[in-house]
Amino acid sequence: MTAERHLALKITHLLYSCSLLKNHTPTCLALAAKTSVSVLREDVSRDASAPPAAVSLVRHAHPAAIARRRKTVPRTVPNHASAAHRSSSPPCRKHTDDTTLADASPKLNYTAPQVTHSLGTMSSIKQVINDAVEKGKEVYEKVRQPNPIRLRDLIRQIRSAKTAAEERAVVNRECAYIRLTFREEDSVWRCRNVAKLLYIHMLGYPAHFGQMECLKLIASPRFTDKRIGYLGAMLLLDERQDVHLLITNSLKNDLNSSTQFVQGLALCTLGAIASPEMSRDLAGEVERLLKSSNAYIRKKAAVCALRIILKVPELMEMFLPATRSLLTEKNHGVLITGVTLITEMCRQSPDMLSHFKKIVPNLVRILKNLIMAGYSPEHDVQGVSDPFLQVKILKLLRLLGCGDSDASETMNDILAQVATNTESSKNVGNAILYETVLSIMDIKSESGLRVLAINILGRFLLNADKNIRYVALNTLLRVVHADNSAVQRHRSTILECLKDADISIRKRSMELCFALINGNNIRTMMKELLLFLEKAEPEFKATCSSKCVLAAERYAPNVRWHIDTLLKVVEAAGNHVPDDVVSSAIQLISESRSEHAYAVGELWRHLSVAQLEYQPVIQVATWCIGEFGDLLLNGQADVTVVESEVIEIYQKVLWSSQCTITTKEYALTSLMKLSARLAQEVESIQQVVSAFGSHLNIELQQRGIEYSQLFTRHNHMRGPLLERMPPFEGTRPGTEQNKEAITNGLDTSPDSQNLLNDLSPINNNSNSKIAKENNESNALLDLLGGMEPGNADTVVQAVTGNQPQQQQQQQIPPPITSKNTTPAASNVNADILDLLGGLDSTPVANNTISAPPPPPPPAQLPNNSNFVLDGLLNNSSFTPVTNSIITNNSTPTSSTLPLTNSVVPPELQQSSSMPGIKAYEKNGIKLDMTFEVHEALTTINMLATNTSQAQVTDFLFQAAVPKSLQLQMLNPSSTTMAPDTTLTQVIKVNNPNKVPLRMRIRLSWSANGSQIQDQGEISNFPPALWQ
Amino acid sequence: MMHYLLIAKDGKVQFSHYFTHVTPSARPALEARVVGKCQSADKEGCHFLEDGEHTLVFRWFGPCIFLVGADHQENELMVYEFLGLYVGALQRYFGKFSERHLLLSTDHLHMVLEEMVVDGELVESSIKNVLAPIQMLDAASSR
Repeated sequence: MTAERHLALKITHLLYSCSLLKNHTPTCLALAAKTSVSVLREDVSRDASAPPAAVSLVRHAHPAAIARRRKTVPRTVPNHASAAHRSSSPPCRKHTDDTTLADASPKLNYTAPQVTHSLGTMSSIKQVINDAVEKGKEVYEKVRQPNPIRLRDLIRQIRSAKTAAEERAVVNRECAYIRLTFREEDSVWRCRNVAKLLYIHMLGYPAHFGQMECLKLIASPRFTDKRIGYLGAMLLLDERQDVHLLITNSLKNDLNSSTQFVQGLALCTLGAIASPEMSRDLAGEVERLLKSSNAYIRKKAAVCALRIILKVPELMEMFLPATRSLLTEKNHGVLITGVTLITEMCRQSPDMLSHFKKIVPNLVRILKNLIMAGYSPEHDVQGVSDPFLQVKILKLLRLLGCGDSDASETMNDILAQVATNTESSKNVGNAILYETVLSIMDIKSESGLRVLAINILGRFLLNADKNIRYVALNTLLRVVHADNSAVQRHRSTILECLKDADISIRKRSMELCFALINGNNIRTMMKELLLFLEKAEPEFKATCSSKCVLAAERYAPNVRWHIDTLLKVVEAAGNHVPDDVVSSAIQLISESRSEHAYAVGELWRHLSVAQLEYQPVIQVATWCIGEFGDLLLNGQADVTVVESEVIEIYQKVLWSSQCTITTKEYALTSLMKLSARLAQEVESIQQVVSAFGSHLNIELQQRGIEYSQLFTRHNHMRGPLLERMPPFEGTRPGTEQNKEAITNGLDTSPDSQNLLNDLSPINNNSNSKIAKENNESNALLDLLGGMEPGNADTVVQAVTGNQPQQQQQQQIPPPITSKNTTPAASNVNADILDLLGGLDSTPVANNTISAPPPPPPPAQLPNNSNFVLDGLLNNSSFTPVTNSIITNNSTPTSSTLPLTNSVVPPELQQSSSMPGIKAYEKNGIKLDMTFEVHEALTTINMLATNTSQAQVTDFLFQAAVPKSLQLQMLNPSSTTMAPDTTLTQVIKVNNPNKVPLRMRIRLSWSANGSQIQDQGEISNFPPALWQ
Repeated sequence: MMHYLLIAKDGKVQFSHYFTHVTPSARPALEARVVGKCQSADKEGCHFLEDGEHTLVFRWFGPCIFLVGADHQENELMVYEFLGLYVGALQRYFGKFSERHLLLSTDHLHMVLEEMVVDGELVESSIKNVLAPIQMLDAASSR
């Protein structure tokens, strides 16, 4: 018999090794099975009681299998199923995994019949084997002791994981194993497994599959199981899950349990997870327990009742009688929860609030006892008797005394007592004082008490402990609306707190400062706040600047101060200004007419020194300079500016990589507006604007093209179009100037009125307006001819040759590009002409009629009318004409054409933005250069254009200059160009000796898959660069 | 009321207990955010921080940071004091509360907390009363 048993063990062992192998190499398994079976057959047929060969073979096969597995699975987790074989093959245990083991036992049954089948007719042997298998099974059952790893070991394993992936692997393996045991309904280790699962859940892994197990644990009679089960329910369940309905019954049972701890556990869980349905089902039990004589149960029942009334307010009535009796309890736990429950009831319903007014004396008595009571070790915290309870009671008193003079009267004394008797050197004491102050300020307390409260806060503000300072500010913020003047007394201290190192304190004091601002202190407060804003963290800047704007709006003593403040806010907040601040600053300036000149002067000062990374200030500045540029230049603004400086700054803004697209949009439109305000620099503006016609950003490109149209074809409209904006809506409508504008519109031809009304021009301000007209055909050419910058200029040159303006045009240095012009007035499409003709004819009439004073050159008026007629008659074969009308209402003498002609060229010579040159044009690549000169430093903005049809990649531009010069090349904007796109690169040349500039260049790029390289020399730099 | 209690060390959350429901998927982000906030705050500075709907109250105990997310209405100083009370209870319960307990006995941390706070409201301010039922249950479980 012993031999048989021995054999059975061995067979089990053998089959187990097979099953181990099975998962990895089927052939190996087959081999092992074959070998063992044949060996067995041999042994069994010879002598069933002595199987040395089989045993040795099995022994032999086994370590090999283990070795194999070791190789394939380097890291594994101990597993319970393998525990079945612990006694026979201990080393195996650690080297198995779930997938293998899940079907280990079926295999056991499955392999055995095969073995017997292969034996065929040897029935006796079959018998023996069957017996052996049975025995093996028995043994398997006996030794089966699933012993999952302990929670601690799991935690250790997880903690020792070096990477997140490793940790994940450990957790996943353990989860797989826990799932498996759950499936097997293993009740012995369920508790341990759920505990592990809770830990895994806490790490953030999904653990919902443990919910049912928690329910099973709760239903278990064992304390340990119940404890973990309830803990699991609390952590894993929430009222959104269906499983949670199943728990109701278990809870009901446990609430009726005879053991207080079981009841306590159930109450705890109910308090944490109760849903409305559950609340309804279990409210009766809770109410009963609320009347229990056991304090432990009562306090927990009170918290459950709290949860229940939060979920189902109708149930409040039910708890009312039991709740009232809670306050007669001596146990602090019951008192705390009772007070909390009453507080919540009062918050929920006004009826309850009035009902509980009568417990005020009770509360006062409890509080008094607490203060007067001597040292009780149980509830003492830093020498204060149960501060937690005191705070809860004070909170409830606040609620009950709010707006009720009788109740307030009752509690006045005790509040005064607490406020004076509480020791303020410790944190707990201050916590109570804090709550007391809030109560005093909320109820209808005596004025003396209020003074006391504010003084306590004043003391808090000077406390070294930042926590105390924080709550002081917090409290002041809450009471500032109740008693502003009292809080004002602490203003200087609060302002000090703005400079505190601590972020929470600064935030609170900032909020408080804004609450304290009024008409009397706005100047000083704003000064401090602006200082704060300058140094504040980015997260503060947005809110602080918005609030500054609001405060200034409300209390500004005068407009100039208001504008100053807004500008300072915009400047101090850097890029963190919310958009509404930018627009309100603009609106304010727009609507305060008397301050236009001042504002534009200030903003010019800001802009001329601005760091380009701060967008909002540039945006406001460009907007205002665009609108009121004339005031800036005619000296009203208290600054002396020459036009070229303005253009220079704008170019800086427009080409800076630090400026955002929005800022550039502002700047471009503003520059365009300036073209109607400046006298001399119009040509350079046109240059800049048309360069944007090829900008990479679609919006800027569109603006660029549209605006360049205003210089060419629709030149006559430019002046009226670019008039000042009317003051923004919501402010002073129908002012004098607005009326004037309308009158002006009425004066003009009826046709133009629509247009004028839309634009509301203020004609009397356009004292330096230059309205230049170009022929329609030019504009059309532009529209048809593509978007190359400078195209418009070229066309202008080409077609104005025989016009009176010829002289002026020729004196203007060549435009950025001198592209081949298309002298194509004759091929103008008649349809387009038709379309635009209608549009154009009216403003022309307007221009000649509405701004009549300076008599235009006699030759031009007839041209104009011809042109109008042409347009109206849709005559496609008319000859191109260009007109130039310079209107100037105020100073007609200065606006005559000859004067303008003589002024423009020298101005351009002085300008630091030089005319551009075409540096290179070959192989589908065009290089244009524009220049800026700052003393010895020449900045060359190179614009490369791909005029070919192929994609240009790896574009590389290299340059060399004579030795006496220094060259610095900045990174290009890109190295690739799609057809008809551009890239820019900035080259800086330092030319201290002022020698003539020459440059050797080498270009390389790839297009159509081939490498192209070219060299050249640029010697046509304008001499102005070094003269 | 309190919404959650976290214990973190070196920026890693070691223990978390949510009194009000937060979806498991939202927890890691929340924990990382608030722990980061408190971690970077000055140790000597103010221990209250604003975090949207909640006020964060945190307290350092050795290398560990205890953190509670509470309502704005909650008395911050009292929550701060509560953290002290909780640690006091743990000290008493474990004999000497150390990081080892924090690491290995999270279930007991939950149980102690559960006796003190239910549904985000404090239920017991006496350490003795907090520990009494736990110790009884411990004794009953080990039997």
